[in-house]
Amino acid sequence: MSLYRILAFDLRNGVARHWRRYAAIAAFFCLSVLALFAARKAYLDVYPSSVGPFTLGDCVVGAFSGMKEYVFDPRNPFDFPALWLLTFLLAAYLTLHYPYRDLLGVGRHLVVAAQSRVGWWYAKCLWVLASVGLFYAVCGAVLCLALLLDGGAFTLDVSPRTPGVLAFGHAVLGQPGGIWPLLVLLPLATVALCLLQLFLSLVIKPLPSYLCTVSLLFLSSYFKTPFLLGNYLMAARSEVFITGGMGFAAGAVLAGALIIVSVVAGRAWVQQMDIIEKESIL
Amino acid sequence: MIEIKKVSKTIQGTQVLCDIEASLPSGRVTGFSGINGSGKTMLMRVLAGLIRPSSGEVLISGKALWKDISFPESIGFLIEGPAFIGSYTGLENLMMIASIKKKAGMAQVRQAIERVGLDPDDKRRYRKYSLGMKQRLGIALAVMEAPDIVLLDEPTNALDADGVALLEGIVREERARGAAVVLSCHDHEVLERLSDSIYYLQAGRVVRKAEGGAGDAAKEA
Amino acid sequence: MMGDLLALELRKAFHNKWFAMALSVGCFLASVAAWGCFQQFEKSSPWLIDMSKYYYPPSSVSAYGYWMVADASQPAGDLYFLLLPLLAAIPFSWSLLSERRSGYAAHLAARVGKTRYLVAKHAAAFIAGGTAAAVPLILNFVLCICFAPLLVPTVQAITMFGVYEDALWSIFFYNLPLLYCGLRTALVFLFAGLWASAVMALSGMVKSRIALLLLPYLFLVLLRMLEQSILYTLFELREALTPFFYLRTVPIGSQYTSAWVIALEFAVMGAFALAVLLVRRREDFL
Repeated sequence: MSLYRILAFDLRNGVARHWRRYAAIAAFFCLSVLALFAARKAYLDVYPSSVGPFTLGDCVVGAFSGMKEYVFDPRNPFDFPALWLLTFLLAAYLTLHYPYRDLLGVGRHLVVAAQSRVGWWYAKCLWVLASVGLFYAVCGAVLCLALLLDGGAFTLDVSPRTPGVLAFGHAVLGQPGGIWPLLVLLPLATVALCLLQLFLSLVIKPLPSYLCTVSLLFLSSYFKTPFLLGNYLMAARSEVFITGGMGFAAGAVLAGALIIVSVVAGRAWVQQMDIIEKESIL
Repeated sequence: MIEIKKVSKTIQGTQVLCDIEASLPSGRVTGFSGINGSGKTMLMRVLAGLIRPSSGEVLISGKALWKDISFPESIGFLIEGPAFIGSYTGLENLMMIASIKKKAGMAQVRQAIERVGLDPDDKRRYRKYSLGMKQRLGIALAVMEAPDIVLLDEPTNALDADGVALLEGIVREERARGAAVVLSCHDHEVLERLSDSIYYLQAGRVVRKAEGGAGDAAKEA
Repeated sequence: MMGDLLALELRKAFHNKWFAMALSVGCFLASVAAWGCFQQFEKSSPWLIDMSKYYYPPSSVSAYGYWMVADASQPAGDLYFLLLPLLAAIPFSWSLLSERRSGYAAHLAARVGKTRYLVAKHAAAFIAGGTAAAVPLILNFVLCICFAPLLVPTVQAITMFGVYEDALWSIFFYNLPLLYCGLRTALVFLFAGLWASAVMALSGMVKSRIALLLLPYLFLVLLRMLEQSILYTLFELREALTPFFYLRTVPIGSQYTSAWVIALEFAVMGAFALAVLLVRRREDFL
């Protein structure tokens, strides 16, 4: 019972009170859509009248496209995918600081009142789930609005030209209507990323844990390997679009394993940690 | 009834508590006195279940903290100054914390705020409060659910003379109600007046135990 | 008095765990990048030296080319430059906000005056941020000269180095490479210092120390995103706008480093920090 009451407290203080952050996320996704339209314009300049209005599937793929596999070439230095990186850095920022600050502030009273450190921890895990859910809900709302303005179809089918517009590379298969694995994997892997960061923020404090998140996302974009979570967050590397792309099953297993490890390790950590500092520096 | 049995705590190689033994009965005020850094606040944290002793144990009504129970089942505390959410009013802050246990309703929360001399209908946000008002709200939080254990760490900090008088009244009421009140305070006169017994701490050790004047005051009353 | 105050602030800036953390992360990445280059050198140097009889001059394997500012082959180097603005702000940019909240700022300001206090604070943030960013570069250079010869790069190996005519200070790279390294390090130091100082100037506008450090960083990534996905695509803007790239030698795609853009950005950061300092010295220290 206490778990739900703490969760209600968290939803009020860690989500509702931070509505401005979600407004900023909405503004960011507007820019993301603008980038997609800019990519279409550039494509149309080369291949006139070959691209019609986007579908909802196109917009989703565009917002989370990432980059195709990077192969080192001295004449082509690595250029990190800023749009993709920022998308997930924002999701990670949303879920970074509140739990730690809460535990060292008013959360102390909640933990004692709830008689359970574990309850507090589970409530924070569910809060991450809710925050990520809202993040994607905001994204979905902005994409739908953009689609309305663009006059596109509300279907999850991806237009055959879209992978070309987004420069997914030569190995594009183009499977219209097949982005469901990606739609499941995106929130799942984001939750895994944020829960891992949440656990690390308790162990090494929030700022270093954010550095780890930036590094993980960067390395994921640099190396195409099934062991780096960020690879599953890119449409451009998904098996939905390219041969030899990142598979749904592997992604789900990795994300699931990270979620379990983070929750279990975090639970063990919270159970033994001393709640001492009133407020940490960073 | 709280029993502290040979409790020690080491943090990053520094021993902050060393073989503390004490008995804190219900319906009594137990004071802890000592210079800064003597271990009073750390001991309070141990009693609240916020930190785990490196050795020894704390028994709350016969149940071992960290073994049988995670936290004392009925406790209110003010440790290291109050911690609230700056954008809410005092009443909103207390109601939110009270919503976890649902032991205190709106009436009790309002009453607790009035007991410390604040106005429950004050629309000012917590961040606009003065230091003394923040401290008073912290005391209200500690007592609002009529807990069996009340821990007050330096409760006179930032309080004016009226505030100290109110605090003394509250401590006596809590004692009379049957709560085990644990008090640490630099103002030795206040501590002497309010406590039934006083433990003197030095470098994390209990160096002396003395009787306080609370019993006499109660008899006179 | 100003000297003592600055010394006090510098002591605080250099003797805190966040400075140590930022420096450690930077030095770790610089060492990993040097290790990667060493492996590359071991693999390619016999071939290059042999081939040099025909195609490449020996300077192709010069340590100057492996230095992480000039080299773009190591992910650790790329990650270092991605994290650089954060690593510059972490050491001390949070301290003004922290000290204002704890009341420590009021004590010092009452003793030495607000202007002096703020100037010392910003100067310390500048120096600490610059040092945290520049030391890993120097370490990397030292590590590179431990395995690769310090040969003056020759233009014949231009395709190996990727430092072309329109690259900033390329003339020094091929003529006075040590000066080039000094100038590049100074550029990184200057950026990191100004960034740290500008972030500190935001203290009055942001309440949380985490937000103070991360929001400006996210703004830089946003700027890169706009540059990459919108400005270049729609307006063909070719000048690199973010330090992730203009602090390095090798051009990304068809973008290039413009001295004017760098000068303008540095001026904006410096002017912002100065303007906020001038306004804040008239404010109440609450």
